[in-house]
Amino acid sequence: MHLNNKVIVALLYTFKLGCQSAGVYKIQTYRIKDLDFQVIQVSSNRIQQKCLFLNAEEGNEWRHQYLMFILSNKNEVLEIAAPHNTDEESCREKIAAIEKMLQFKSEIRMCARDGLKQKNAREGSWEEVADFGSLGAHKVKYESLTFDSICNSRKCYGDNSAYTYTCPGFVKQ
Amino acid sequence: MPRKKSNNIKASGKTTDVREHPLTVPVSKKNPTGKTIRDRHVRRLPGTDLDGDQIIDLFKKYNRKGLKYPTTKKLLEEYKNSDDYDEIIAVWIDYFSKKFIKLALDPNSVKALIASESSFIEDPKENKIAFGITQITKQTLKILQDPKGEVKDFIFKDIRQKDLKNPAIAIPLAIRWLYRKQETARSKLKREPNHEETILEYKGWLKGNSALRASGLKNYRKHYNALK
Repeated sequence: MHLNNKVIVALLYTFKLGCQSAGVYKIQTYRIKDLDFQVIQVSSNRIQQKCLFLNAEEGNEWRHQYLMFILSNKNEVLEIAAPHNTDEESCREKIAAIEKMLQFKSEIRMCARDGLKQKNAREGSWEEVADFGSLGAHKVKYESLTFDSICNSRKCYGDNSAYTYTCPGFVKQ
Repeated sequence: MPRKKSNNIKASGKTTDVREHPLTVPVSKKNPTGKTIRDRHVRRLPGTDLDGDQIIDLFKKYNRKGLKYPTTKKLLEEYKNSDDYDEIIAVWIDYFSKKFIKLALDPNSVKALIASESSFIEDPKENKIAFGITQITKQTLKILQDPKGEVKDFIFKDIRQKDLKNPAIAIPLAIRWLYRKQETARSKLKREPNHEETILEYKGWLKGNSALRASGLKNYRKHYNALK
């Protein structure tokens, strides 16, 4: 390869990496009746998922909490928690289904319920810190939001059938 | 002269000792006369157990006078079905508080528990271990039906796992279990538990670390406060 071509390829690669690491992050808050909703548009590399085992006792050893972490453009972490505890297998299935959506498209839109409140001391979120790999580990700054649904350009995932309302632009099952 | 008891049969305050007696059975090769002898056995006294049909029947006929209902309309903006189970909650709290001669559970506490366990979804699909609107496990269902187990004072019978999809069955079972959890929480704390401590015991977190307790209660507390 000619030297100039190598430089162009290197520049393009650097540019691509740069775009990936910056990524997209937009959040918009809506209020319907007395309820707050957050519509978040974010690139896949700013999302992490986790199943947290809640070490309960006396027949409650099944309880796992699904958690999603989103890194804002100010390097603040939003924690989004599933509304209920599930068994480990169901929690892992949720992670796999969402991971598949994230791999298919580099950007997603998601609906989270509740208002954005800065958390105080240790209360209000399940985790203190979330690790985004090359984007670093950052503190969870807000109280947990509640997971409603997540969409890429092709499909949506999430069961919001129990709710009366969902985010504008999202389908209520 | 004191009555002699057989080796394996013991009657308690909730059971009676039935002597060997003749029994009419369907005519078969084994029993061509339609008569057999039933061995000596223990029978539960009336009012110490309920099966599915009895649960439904008792709910229909229950005297509604003086019942305490959960607060209505406060969760409707969030959950469309949230007021649908108020009557079931009110009836069964009243039934068990009278049965156990105990201070009634707070109906809003039961409603907030259901919100936090299932969002009022009658048959949540996202769980393979706990079932129904109150998320009762197979293990808990077994305990609730064990005549020799920890809730032997009052048990359920012939309730199958699939019956837990019906809130008319799942809610009374959960309320009976909550009364039991109130007792176990009292024993662990060595004092009367408050409503949050009873819920923590139901979810298995009463003895968990403080961070788990605080995060785990967040969803319940949010709904309970909304109902106040």
